This record gives sequence, C-alpha cells and structure tokens, in this order.
Amino acid sequence: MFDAIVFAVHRCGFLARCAREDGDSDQVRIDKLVQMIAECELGIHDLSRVDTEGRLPRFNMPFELGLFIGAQRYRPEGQRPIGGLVLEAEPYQHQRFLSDLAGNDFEAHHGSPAEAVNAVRKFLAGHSQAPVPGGRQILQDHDFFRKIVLPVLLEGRQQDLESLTFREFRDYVQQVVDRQVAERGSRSAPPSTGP
Amino acid sequence: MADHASTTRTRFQEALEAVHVLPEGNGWTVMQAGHDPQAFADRETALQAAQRSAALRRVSVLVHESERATRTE
Repeated sequence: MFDAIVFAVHRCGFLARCAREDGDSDQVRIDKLVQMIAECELGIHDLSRVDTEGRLPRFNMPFELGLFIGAQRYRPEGQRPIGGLVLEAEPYQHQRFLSDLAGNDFEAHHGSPAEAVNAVRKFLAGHSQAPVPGGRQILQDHDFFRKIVLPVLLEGRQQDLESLTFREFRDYVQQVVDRQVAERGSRSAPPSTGP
Repeated sequence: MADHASTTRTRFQEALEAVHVLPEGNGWTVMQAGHDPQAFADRETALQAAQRSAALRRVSVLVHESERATRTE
C-alpha cells in the first residue's frame, strides 16, 4: 500500500516526502516533521491502520495529520500547505476514532492499493499543472516496477527489499518514472507532498 | 566497481525495454513497460506471444523462472 502510494505520487509528477526519509539523522523527529510540513505544499495521510488488534494504538499518523492541519490554519499565507488528502480503510471510519474531523473529506481505500492509488491520483490531478496519467496506467507501471525493475536494481546493487531505506526506495521509483516520462512525454519539475 | 555499475545500468535498461515472461498464480504472464499484461495458461504460449511482441520491437525476451531472469533468442 505505502509503496504504491509513493509510486503514484512520483508518477503524477510530484516528489514524495516521508517522516522516515532521514532515518539516521540526529534531528528530533517532531522537528523533522514540522520542517517537512513547512516544505510541502500537499499532504497525504493514511489513517487506515487504526485497528490495534489488542495492542497499544499508534498515534503517529493522526498526530502528523494534526500538525499538518495546524500548519494549514496557523502558518502565514504563502507558507501554508494548500491541500491534504486523508485516507481511511472504510467509509466514515474516522467518525468513530477522530470525530473532530467529521465533515472533512476522507477517501476510503478498503485496504486496496488500487483504490488508494486512484484516490491519490484524483487528489494530485486537482493540484497539478500538467495532465497526470490515469489510475490504470499508474497501477500497471507500479506492477511492472515491483515485479520486474526493482528486483533487477536490488540484485545489481546486492540489496534486499527488507533493508531498503525510504530514500533508496524513492530514488529507484524516480529512476523508473523518469524513464517512463521520457518515453511517453515531458513533465515540469515536481512539487512536494508529505509527510 | 565501474564495470559492476555499468552492468547494473545495462540490466536496468534491458529490464525496462525487454518483454518479460513470468509465472503468476497457476499461469504465466507477459509484461512489458507501458503495455497491459497478458495472462496465459501455459509457459509455451506465453513465450510465443512474448517472442512475437519482442520481434516487432527488436528487444529481448526475459523469462523469470527462478531468482534470475534468462534471456531467450
């Protein structure tokens, strides 16, 4: 799910940022998040993993969404994020665990990467200066990336998927997307989405 | 080191251009960048379809049967 979303972001001409991108940095995590939100025009927040199955709940994603909404509300005009997409697993699920946000736009992906990609594509199409590829094309390109190209890149560099960092993964996505875009049409420099 | 990097670049390039045949579920799938994947019940039919497509575009066919892909003529 996560890597399909990252791929869709890049395939639509944007740059994916993520709180995990500086995993080895000494910077305090919340400072990284605040800085990243300040640097991004758009945010995508997936709140679908709220089912704790008896374990302690993880509040990171709702917390990051809260920071993002705070930036939208309180940062000076011209420095605030201009749009956000919130994903959830089932329609209206957030009304039961985050009722303060009732009335906002959420998109349900039902745990399906294809539905998540389509929601991300629709969101980014509304913020892109250039036409973005259709959901079917993005999914097809992602499938080719995961099954064919990524294994070749990993093998060539003696890496494995489990130990790949977010930055390494994103660089591989960008290499492939650059090639696909070069073969099928041009695109301007990417704005950022995060966290 | 430079040779290794060059080999990786070449394989990356070839992977993007080639027609690929790989097992999926109970059948075989033919994949190439920018095209709809095609599903086949058996390996031979998939290979023939891949070879026809590859001949038109003058690219390789790579068959993925184990950890490594094998090139066919």
